[in-house]
Amino acid sequence: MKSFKLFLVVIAISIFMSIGAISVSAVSRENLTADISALNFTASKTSTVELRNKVAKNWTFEQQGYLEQNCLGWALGIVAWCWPWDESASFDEVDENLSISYNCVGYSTMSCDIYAYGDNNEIVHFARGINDGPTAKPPIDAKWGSYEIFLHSTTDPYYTVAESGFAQAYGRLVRAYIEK
Amino acid sequence: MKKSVVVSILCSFLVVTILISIIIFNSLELRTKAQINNLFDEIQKRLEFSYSSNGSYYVDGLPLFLSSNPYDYVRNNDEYDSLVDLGVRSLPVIEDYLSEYLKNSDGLYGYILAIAIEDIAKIDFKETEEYKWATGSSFLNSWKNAKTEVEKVVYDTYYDETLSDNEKTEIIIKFGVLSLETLESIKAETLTYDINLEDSKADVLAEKLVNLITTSDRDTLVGIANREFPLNT
Repeated sequence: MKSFKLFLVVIAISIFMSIGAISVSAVSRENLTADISALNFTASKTSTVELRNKVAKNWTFEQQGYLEQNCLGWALGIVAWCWPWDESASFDEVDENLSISYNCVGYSTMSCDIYAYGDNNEIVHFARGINDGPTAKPPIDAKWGSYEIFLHSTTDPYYTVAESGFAQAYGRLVRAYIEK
Repeated sequence: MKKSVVVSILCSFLVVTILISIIIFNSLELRTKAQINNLFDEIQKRLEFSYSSNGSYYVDGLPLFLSSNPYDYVRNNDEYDSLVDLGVRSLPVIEDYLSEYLKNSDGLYGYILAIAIEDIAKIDFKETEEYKWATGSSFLNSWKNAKTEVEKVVYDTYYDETLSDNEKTEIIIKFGVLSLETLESIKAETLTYDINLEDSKADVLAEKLVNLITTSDRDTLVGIANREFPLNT
């Protein structure tokens, strides 16, 4: 009888502690779920005019865009952070990945669907061709990383490293692609 | 009376064991989720200050905010390193978190969780034909497919007599830690006992693969899988 009482006491304490542990876990899980919901389609960050002028020779604000979309997502027309490469994207790797749906037309500025920018055999930025390329005004638009979406009046609007105040820049137009 | 004492002690032991298991599991789950939140907070902080703080959060000379490369957001990031350091047991928690996140959007944070899973699992699915990915959601699909297929691929590869040991290694280690469970099964199946020496010996290749995967870092395994590093078997 004594051992039965001992058993009941141990069980009671264990159940009490279990309920406590599960409750703490449930509360925390609820908070973390709330954090996830907060990430849903946030507006992109707003850049300063000073920064815009350091990045591009010509730009016009088009729309705020979403923080959940990067330049390639915008160029491809999907609301996603899209990056099919590892830490850096060489010209050849970009050609290979986009070749499923796009033909690379070298350095052409004529009526393309996607334009790629970079330097030193690394592509760091993409823009979307609008309508008929240079015949349209303006011919391209692009999402600048976590910033907004801008229209550009030329297909080669960005400063190079030598021209900008940064140690790296979006650089020159290095590739253009037409949808198959 | 004696019997009831034994039963009560056993039951108490069982309850306490279950309780400890619950606490440990919840602790890891909570630690992982808390670390994910710390990482997201750190990225948010870097985003806020990437332009205004005189280059504190520049990546290769470019303000972080301007970068579309998701790897720039975890580079030199202690919070990311801490998440990866939680190790293999945190993978199901990160996968669940990614799955929940993707219900809302396919953005940067989902991609970053995908990078973390690849780092912990010691894989680079972008270098494979079957499991290539470009967004957090496409990674999750690839990851789930790989988990479903790994057992068959590892078994078929391991027992394919037309392949050399090096070729088998290159195929199997593409799955990183996902292949360990199947390799351990193969080790157990191939275990042979020498009665005289009272010793046991598993199949050499299975043993080597398990050691290779558990002791090598991700870069080494990916390098071997992609034939960038020499393999000495």
